[in-house]
Amino acid sequence: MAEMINIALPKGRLGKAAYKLLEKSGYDCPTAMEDGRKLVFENKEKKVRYFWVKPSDVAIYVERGAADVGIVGKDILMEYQPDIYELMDLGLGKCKVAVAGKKGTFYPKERTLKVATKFGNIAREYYRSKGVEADIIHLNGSIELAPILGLSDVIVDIVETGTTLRENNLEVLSEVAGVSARLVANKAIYQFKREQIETMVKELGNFVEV
Amino acid sequence: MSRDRLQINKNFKEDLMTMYNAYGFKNFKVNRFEEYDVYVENKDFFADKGVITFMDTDGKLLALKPDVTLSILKNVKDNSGEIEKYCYCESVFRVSARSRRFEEMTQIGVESIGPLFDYHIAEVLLQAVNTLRNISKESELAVSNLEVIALAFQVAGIPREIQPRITALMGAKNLHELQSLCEKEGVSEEGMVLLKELMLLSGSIRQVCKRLQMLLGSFDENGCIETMENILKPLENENIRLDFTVVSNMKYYNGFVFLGYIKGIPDAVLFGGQYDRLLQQMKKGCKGMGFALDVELLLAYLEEDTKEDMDVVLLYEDGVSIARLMETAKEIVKEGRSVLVEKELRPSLCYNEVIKLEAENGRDD
Repeated sequence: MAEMINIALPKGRLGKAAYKLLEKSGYDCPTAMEDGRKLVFENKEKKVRYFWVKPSDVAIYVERGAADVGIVGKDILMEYQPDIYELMDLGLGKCKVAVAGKKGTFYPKERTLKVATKFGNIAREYYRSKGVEADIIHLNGSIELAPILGLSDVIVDIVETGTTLRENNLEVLSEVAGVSARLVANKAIYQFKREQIETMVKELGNFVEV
Repeated sequence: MSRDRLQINKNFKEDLMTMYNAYGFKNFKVNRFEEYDVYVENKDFFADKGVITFMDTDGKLLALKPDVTLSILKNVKDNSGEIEKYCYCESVFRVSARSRRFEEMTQIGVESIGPLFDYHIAEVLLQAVNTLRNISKESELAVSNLEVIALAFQVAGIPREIQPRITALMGAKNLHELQSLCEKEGVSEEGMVLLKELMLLSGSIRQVCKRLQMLLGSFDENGCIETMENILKPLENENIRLDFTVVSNMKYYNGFVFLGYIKGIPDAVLFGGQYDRLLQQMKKGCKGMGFALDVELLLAYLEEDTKEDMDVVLLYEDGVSIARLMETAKEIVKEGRSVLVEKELRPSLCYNEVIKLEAENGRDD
């Protein structure tokens, strides 16, 4: 008998879009979209159980086996490098990780570049690949403020439309990577729920536009 | 939602060692310390494990051993023509992939070193399957073969410099980025289709080998698919699944590599493979294969069955004299049975017989 599939969804806009896609693919659980404080939703008939978790925690839930599969942004996967399967690009929540700074910013040649970001590993790896020495300043929010106040020369952050950057007189200086939502799975659980997870990938594939 | 913890026999370590001994694997004991040089020469082998070092009184740099394999390989006789087979249950000191901190961990494993024939390779695979089965019936050994992957890379025309990236993407079942990378690097459409098929190829030994012969057979000058099939055929009814997304560092490993999974544990508990290339780098002219079981990971998810196994529980009521209890217990032990004297039955007790002692006339003595 098929077992329940435990799915971790990121709270917020991306999670809702991902749920809609899963719903279309036959994994509906109407209560999952109800407003309230409940975090776990089940549809026993469809053998699915959804959890809403903080977007940056989805990969941890999956890696530790609390969820079998999950929907997570590529930026989170690049930053935390979890040991999980990345089964599919869902084409949702497309944006980019980019370097941004005040208009006309040049890399200082005489000193270390100061970079403010919440993506420390991505930024470190990016500047290492460019051979640029960078002082990574880890921030948890309002990253755009850092170059305005002189805390950093540039920022490495998610850019969707670029509106926030423009309003703060900042611009994209270079693109680090394209980002979109990915379907991920726990490697060990996959071995025992292989058929169910492969069917899910196939069903989702009918509706995904990358 | 909270998962009930699965049970594991409290004697599982001894049981495994006994099983390995029965197949001729000798117990191998190693010191906790090892000369650091052993690890420096093969530091990539420990890239993500870390090594704790310290200075001995004579200035020599020592390490708390992060792995048992290298300590065993260091001691094997070179070109002796003999096959040395060892099993071990040892502590290692390394950075835990989960906590990212140094931890003392127990590893159980086997190593076969020497002029290994196909039988010896199959034997190690069998030990790996049996190890998993000994712990849980719901287990699976995912097996891959790096020679077959290397053949597929050659046929698909994958440039050497992008092979590590391709291998990493295969290991993550990341088909979409594999496709993008192949397009970017100018890999042909046929090459891409071949890699995709290899990645998705998974199933019984017979099915997969048949498909591999169709895909790669005409290019397989060294007969690696046939060799793989011959080794795996006797293991057809075991919990083995061929899966070419199981990949390892090709600098050290060759031939078979494998990962063992147990239902209910969210990570591979067993890992191993053939490491002829590591032996070559250590200037040893022989072959080697082995695996290790991560005991800490097992115990983090499985609960040791702590039931006390006794033949007899001797229950007594108030007033029974110590002398009578002792005499009765002595008689039971004399019969070759174990005995536990208790006032009442505890739920954790596991026994064959209960003997109740009542006080004579309300009170002994």
